Formats: sequence, structure tokens, C-alpha cells
Amino acid sequence: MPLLAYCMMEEAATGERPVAGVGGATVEEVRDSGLRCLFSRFQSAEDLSRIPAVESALAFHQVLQALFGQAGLIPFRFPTVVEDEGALLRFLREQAPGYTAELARLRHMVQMEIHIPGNREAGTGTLAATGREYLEGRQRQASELKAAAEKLRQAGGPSVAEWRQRQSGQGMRCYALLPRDGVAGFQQAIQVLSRSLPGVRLSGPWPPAEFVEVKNS
Amino acid sequence: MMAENNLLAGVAGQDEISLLDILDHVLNAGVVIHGSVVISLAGVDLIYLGLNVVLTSVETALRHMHLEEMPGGAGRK
Repeated sequence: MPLLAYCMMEEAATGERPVAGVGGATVEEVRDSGLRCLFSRFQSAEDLSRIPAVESALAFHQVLQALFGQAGLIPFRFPTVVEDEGALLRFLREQAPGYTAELARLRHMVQMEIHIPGNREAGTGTLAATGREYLEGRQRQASELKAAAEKLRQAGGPSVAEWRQRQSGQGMRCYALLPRDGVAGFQQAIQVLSRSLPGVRLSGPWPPAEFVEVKNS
Repeated sequence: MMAENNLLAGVAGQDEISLLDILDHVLNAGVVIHGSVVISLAGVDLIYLGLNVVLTSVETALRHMHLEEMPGGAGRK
């Protein structure tokens, strides 16, 4: 019977799991190799795919949020479906050393995310008359995004333990890793600075998925 | 315990951002188990090659989901 996997936590992590998850399915758990893993069973993968997509994704998110409010966790990407409990246990046993170490390292940490929008015209070359102008526009945009990201990083202050940023077609995404008790201060600092950076949006706290460093073997 | 209403602190355009951010996170962030079963969502196949799940269609799925959510939008029923 296929399982939809929600997340991994430390085996000793306390906290109640939600009764129902995606599609109203019972949220179950298995504890093995130092990890606590939460999942729901489905009669078939097709059963899961019949649930409206947004509804499924939001229910998945609600399970994570309920747990993340109580303890640190590493989420699975939605929808991660394994064949049966045996397959899930094999994964946990094989990957336990890496994930237990990361869960301990990130136990009290959260991830905040900032999106800095790019200039659409510069990004697509709408106003560029020549290839050279287009490339110069792209270069200018990349510099502006990096400068804005640097301002935000500095505004985040010393509570930011790690910072990552990634440029995409839509602008720049920045990820800040900070302790749970640093969230309010971080939000305040970013919101003040964002008044001078139109369109910047901040979200979080999220589980620190961007900072998990385990390679699947 | 962290207050649930702390989850989203959008600086601009709150509600729509919230849904998109949530979908973006659940579809793009997190661990993938090699050998996962492939499924489809809203008719969008999440393609896999061999035993490795490759969520190449995530951006398309996200756009599709967004359309479905828009009032009077062009999303599929």
C-alpha cells in the first residue's frame, strides 16, 4: 500500500501529530534509526492523484505546520510517495546518519525567505534594440538584485546564521537561517528596509529545507 | 510554540502570495526519496526517469494550480 511521506523529525521529538492529513487520511508515524517519520497510507497512488491538487498541497502543508510549530523537521517534497512501509524504512535506515545530524543541527532553526522581483523588461529584453543592449540590461539587473540582496542580508543582522541566495527568471530568492526566537526581529528589520525596495516580499518561518545538506546515497 | 499566524509575513499583496508561497514550498522544497512512485496532479504528470523522481513539471503544475484558484480563471475543472 503506497505511503505519502510528510516529513522526518528526531526520534525523540515530542509533539502530537495531526489526526488527519491529505485527503483526510490518518497521519501515522514510524520511528527507526533515530528518526521519526510521518506519513499517510493510500489504497493506490491513483487515489491520491484524484484529490484536487491545491487541496492536497494545502493539507500537506497544514500537517507540516502543525508539527513544525512543536519541533524541528525536514519535509519531504510533495508528493513523495513510496511503495510501502518497507520502502520507507529502507530509506530511513540508509539515510539516518545524515538526517539525524542535520535535524540536530537545525533543531531550533527556521528559514525565512525573501523574494526580490526582477525588472521584467530588463529580464526579457523587451526594450533592448540590440543584443548588446539586452546583455547589458541583464547584467545591470543581476547587479541590482545582488546589491538589494546584500542590503537585506545586512539588515537581517547577527541573528542570521546562514544566508543563501539564488537568481531566477523572476528575480532573486534569498534564504535566511535563524533561530526561532529571532523571527520577530528579522521580520521587523526586513519590513523596514523593504519600504525602499518595492515588491520585496518576505515569508516564513518555514522548515529550513534550503539548508539541509544530505546527499541521498 | 510558534503561532500559526506567523507563517506568512508578506510585505506586499498578502493572500495571493500566501497560497503561491505555500504551493511553491511544498512542491519545490524538501527531500525526494529515490524510487518514489510517480503520480499525477490535476492531470500534470510528475515525470520520473528510472528510479529517480525528477519533478520537471513543477513550475507548470504551479502555474496550472494558480489558474485553478483564480476566480473565474481558465483552470481545468
